[in-house]
Amino acid sequence: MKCQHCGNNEAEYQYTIVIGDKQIDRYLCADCAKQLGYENGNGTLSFDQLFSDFLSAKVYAPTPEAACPRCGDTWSDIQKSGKVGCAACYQTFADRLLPFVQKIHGTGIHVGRAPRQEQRDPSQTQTEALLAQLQAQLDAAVAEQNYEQAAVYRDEIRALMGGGA
Amino acid sequence: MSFYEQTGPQGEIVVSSRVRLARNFQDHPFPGRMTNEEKQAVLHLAEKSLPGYTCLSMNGMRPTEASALVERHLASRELLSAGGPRGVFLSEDECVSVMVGEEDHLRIQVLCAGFAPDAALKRAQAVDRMLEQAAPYAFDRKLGYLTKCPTNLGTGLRAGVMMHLPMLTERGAIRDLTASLNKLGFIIRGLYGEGTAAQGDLYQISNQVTLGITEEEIVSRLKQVTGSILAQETDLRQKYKSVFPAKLLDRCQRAVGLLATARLLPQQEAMQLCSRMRLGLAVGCLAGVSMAEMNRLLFEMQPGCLVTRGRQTQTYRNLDQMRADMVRPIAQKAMAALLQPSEPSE
Repeated sequence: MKCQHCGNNEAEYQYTIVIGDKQIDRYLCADCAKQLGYENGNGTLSFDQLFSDFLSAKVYAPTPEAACPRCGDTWSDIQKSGKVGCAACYQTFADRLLPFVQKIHGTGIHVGRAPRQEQRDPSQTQTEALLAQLQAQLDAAVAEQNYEQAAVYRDEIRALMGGGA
Repeated sequence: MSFYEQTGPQGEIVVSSRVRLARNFQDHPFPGRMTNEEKQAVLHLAEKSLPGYTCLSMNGMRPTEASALVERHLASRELLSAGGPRGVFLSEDECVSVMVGEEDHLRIQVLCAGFAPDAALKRAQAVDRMLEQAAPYAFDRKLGYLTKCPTNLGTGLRAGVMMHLPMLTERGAIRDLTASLNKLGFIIRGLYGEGTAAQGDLYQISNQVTLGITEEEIVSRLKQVTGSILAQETDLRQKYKSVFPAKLLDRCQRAVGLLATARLLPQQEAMQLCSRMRLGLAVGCLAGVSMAEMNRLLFEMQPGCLVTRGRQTQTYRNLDQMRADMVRPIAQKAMAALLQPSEPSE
């Protein structure tokens, strides 16, 4: 791995700094570590320097926020408005959006109508896929001893099987 | 003929039923992130699939005309304030309105007179099938129809009723109703949606949850909830009529007296008095005016509708005066019925 400061030399030192709930990992070459005051000659860290670096964000420059490749919305944009920019945002930010969706609706599985474009595939596949997904969620809920949620999944499975019969 | 010019099932209490489907096309970002060219393209897609519909473009429309559309529940305030090419497509009977370029590409709305959410859903789904032929919809097997706001995911369906609840309002029961409806996944709001006061004791009740439930189940739950509110309001009306007959007569007939003679009617007062008159007609304390006429008054006395109407008849006047002039002849019909020897009430 290259040094994160100069980008030329091989990194020789890893510094992990924990301040509050923030953890920062820095990979530096010997020269840069010395230059930035990470090593004060005898191999110990200069905490004063670290702290001031942290505050001035010299060391901890946050990486640019991930944006939706389709519409350019970032997670902050979505948080601010409570709304997404395009259909692809639901995939881009799935890890953060889906728990939110589940919270609003009490579930994350659509059971209503589908457009004809989707129905070209045998409808059996969709039901089967949904059932498998629900079964996995049910198993996970039982493993977590979240029986209330498990009951919800169980009822959804029953409804699906009943509806398909 | 608009939904409010007809009388439907349970029309004494349920003014109208409404169903709305939120839909987006797969190949375009949502309206907030679209260029004007893309918005225009989506308008063309809608135009192509809605033959026989009247297209009203929001661009260049007079603000009062746009307001009149909102007052008649054919467009939303959000559509008015959104930018770029956008519009609303109206069916010949004005019961179907498809907003293009609001929060989502398409908002398919069907309004029916009275308590008829099943019929409204059926019609909305037929229009939906017409529109989906234009281009593929944004749809995910797990999340259903994809919408700009996660609260509309899944079915994209909002089903609701507009109810006239003067007795529950007087009882102070609306707050409790709000709480219990919330628990059932329903929301109750004023006449013109979120954040508007309940003018004329008119309320809109609709579902909040759209995902993990079928369209039919949403409508069936709405029917249950509405049925129970309907029973409570009917019960209160009957009790009130038998326990305080003079009080009820006084309230309804006094309102007619005012409406039949007033020359200036501010909006709030007019809505309040018309609510009492509507109640009187529903419980048989008044006669001579149909529920449909009464409903038309409640909608068309709103400012945008009045101005639009005034422009058509070339009578530019004070709004309160225009409102009074519109209401007076109708209230006078109820007055005439009261003054006849065979009074409708004891």
